[in-house]
Amino acid sequence: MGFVSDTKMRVIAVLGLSFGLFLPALTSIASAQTCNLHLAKAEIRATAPNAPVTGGYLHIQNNSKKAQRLVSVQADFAQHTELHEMKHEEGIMKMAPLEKGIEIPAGATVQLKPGGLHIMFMKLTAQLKPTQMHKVKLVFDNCGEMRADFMVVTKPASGHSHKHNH
Amino acid sequence: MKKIVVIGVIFAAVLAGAYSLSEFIARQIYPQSASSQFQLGSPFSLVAHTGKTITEQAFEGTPSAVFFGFTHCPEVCPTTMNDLTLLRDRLRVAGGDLNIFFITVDPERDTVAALKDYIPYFGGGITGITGTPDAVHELARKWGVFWQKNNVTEQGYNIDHTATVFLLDKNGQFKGTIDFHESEEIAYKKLERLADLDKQS
Ligand SMILES: [Cu+2]
Repeated sequence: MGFVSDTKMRVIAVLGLSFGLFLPALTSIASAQTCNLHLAKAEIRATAPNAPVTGGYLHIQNNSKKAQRLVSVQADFAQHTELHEMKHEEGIMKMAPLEKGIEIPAGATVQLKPGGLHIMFMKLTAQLKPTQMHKVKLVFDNCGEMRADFMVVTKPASGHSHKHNH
Repeated sequence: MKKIVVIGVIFAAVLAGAYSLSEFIARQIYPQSASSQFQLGSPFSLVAHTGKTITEQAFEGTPSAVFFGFTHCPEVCPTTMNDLTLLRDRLRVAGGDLNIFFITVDPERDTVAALKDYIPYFGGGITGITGTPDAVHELARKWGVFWQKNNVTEQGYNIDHTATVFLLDKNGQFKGTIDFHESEEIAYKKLERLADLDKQS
């Protein structure tokens, strides 16, 4: 490292680097608080060996006074991720990408669940096995990034049969 | 007078057009509602996930549940396979049986190798079926199954498809369907009847 030759320069570089790393961490904590988004029941469907795709589900509760939009999702086990909506019409299962993401109105809870809205994990790089936990990054238009732990399960909760109180 | 004839001809043409359009739509939307006009159980020769040739004779000897799906399917296909194996296990405890078949509507991607990874994951007693696109699509057409590629991007594509389970008795005769949203109890009753368990006891 020829360009950081003396101690003074090295101290400045270390300080600068630390600050650069620390700043985004600060803002993401701040935004998560001001955003007031509560994430729950985050689940991913377990996959067969070499299965290329799977679905991810969660409940997003928006306790703020401002609408929020989930615009993208990233996970290290999937090379590509989209937001989708599934519809069962006259015996035919249809699925379409949501180009504008998923809006969570102020004060509302939106459920991503089997048979409807879901995260579509594509080009999977690993088999997802029950009880595994995976960190997934969720990107919101105003709030920025949030991370959630998703549990891999054989049969994700449909959200139909149980009513949960928070 | 001429005017009336012209109007009459136009009216008839519109009527005929509307009728054939409604027929077309009905065929697209209600593939299973007119099962009698489809040739379920008609002869075919395709390939099982084991690599062996499979024909309509596979539907004989034991009642069958037949589902059309694909391995790039995030939800309905794995859910249906899991549900069917659970129902089959229940049926076996009660003295009945069921063979489960998964016929791909995506023969381009669902090769024998792909099905060999996918099918055994859901447990034994399931047979995956693929083949040349022409042969597979011909079978799907005969069964009145709808499939259509969509969301085609450089990342791949999805297939909208009929999510109905077809039920055949032990002679390979079409007996009914299980709809995706039907309750487990109704589905089980249908399989009991299919296995003739309701006539015993
Ligand atoms: Cu999807």
